[in-house]
Amino acid sequence: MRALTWQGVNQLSVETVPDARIVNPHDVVLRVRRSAVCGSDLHFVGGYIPTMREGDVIGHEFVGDVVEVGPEVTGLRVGDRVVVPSFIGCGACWHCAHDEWSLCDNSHPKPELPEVALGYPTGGIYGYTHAFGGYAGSSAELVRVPYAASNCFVVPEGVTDDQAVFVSDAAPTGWMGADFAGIRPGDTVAVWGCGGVGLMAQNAARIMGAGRVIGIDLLPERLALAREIGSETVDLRSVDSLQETLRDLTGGRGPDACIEAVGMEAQGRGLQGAYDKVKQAVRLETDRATPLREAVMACRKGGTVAVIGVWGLLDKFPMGAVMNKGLTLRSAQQHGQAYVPTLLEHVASGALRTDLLATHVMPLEQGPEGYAMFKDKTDGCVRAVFAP
Amino acid sequence: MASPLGGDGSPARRAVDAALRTGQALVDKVLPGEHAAGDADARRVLTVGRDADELRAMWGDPVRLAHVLAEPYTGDPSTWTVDEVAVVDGVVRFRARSGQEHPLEASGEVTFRPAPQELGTEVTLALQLDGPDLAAGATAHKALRRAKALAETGEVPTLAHNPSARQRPEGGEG
Repeated sequence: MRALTWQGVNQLSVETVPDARIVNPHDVVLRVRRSAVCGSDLHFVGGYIPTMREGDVIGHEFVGDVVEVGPEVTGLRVGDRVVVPSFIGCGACWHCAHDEWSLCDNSHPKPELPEVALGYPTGGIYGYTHAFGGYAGSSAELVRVPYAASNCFVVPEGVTDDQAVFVSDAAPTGWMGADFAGIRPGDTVAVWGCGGVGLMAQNAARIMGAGRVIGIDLLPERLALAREIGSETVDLRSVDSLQETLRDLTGGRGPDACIEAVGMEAQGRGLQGAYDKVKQAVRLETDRATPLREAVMACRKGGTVAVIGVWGLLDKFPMGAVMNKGLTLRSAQQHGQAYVPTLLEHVASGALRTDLLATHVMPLEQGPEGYAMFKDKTDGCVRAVFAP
Repeated sequence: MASPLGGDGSPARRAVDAALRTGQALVDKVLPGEHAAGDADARRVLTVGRDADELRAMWGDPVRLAHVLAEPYTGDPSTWTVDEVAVVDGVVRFRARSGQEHPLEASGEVTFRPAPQELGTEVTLALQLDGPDLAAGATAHKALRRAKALAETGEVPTLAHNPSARQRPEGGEG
């Protein structure tokens, strides 16, 4: 089969690889209909997250048709069109039973690798380094889905592939951020980042009853998308002080909740931004953390900060602001399986605008070009989506 | 008064001796050497969401026991052979050897006690290995993780036949 592979830092190529196949009894194999790029992919593409191996198949956000079913799979048939969350849950461990799917105890084939950095292993992910499982990714003609009964969700007829693909990762990640923010009716919610995840967090906050949602970014085309889903926006290129701007917008109180949806390759500003850039370049830290620090500083006293960007090792984190302002800090990789049925209903009703993200749909053979366009933010690219 | 730079019991001598002991201990942890069976000990514990009788039966089954023993870090499929396994007074005791290029011999003891809050059973594996300490700890930990997955899901997570653009033997892991 053809597949998009990682060949080295900033080197991707489409290669012919062995077909995905059933290995364990609870597996299915999907023929991929759509597989999307994700901002978190750029971290290993650029070499900031280690443990990729040359030849790894990448991609973790996908929708496809079931073409082969393992002998112990229940509830799925060949021909089902399904969307699959990026983190693999076994459906049987304590964490899966408590809807903490990305913390699954059993889906990681090499749990000793993340234990070194994290203390305990996460679940496995498709196409996202060996520290996160080493499973072949979805930017391919076929993909193996373990524990299929817990991970495959049939897509309703009225939802298109280009809408459904983002219910795999961007939408549940953003939705979870809004869920973690503990939004009460009328709350003001500020969201750092108007990429795929940030837009979905803003859209989710509106659905959950926020009175005002403020989207923060520096790309005009992404700020326009935020306004299209009902957010107010702050263009970082046109404000001297984001902190003062947010205070002004909230009568001096600060946002009730702040959602950080950018991650480790954030655009830095000022001296701190320059400091991060130098330290990241020489690998003394992995993260440029400007938006995370800003979210903590901007949040009102007693408010909540939800962290859904992907982070590694950072320093200069304002823990004193968390403690002295009595903030609640919540974070996780996405627990998609807990949210997907709800999300599909909101997509079908038109309330959740996943359709806005698929700005560039292209053949899998153009995978390297799609990632380059996404990385460089050219032609207004929010997400490149591959149709194998 | 002893010289600060030498002599029995001097601060400098004690510091040098401590450094040498630490260095030797580190070497023993990471390098294979002239080890006798049982040289390296490791004890690891993991909570599994199943009752003790079920887990005791699983660990006491030579086929499933061989399946959960694996090479740490590589995640390669199990190559271990179980020579002996028995359940005595509720404790599983076994002897096994790996089939890798430099075979290891291991003996283990698996004990079970109820976990709090109805979380299942705390499984403790005490493993002795004729290899470096680090290998004993990693092997024990990997075995517990694989056994937990097998008990809770009916399968062990694997990268066998994982598609990639690398040349490797059929069935090898990704």
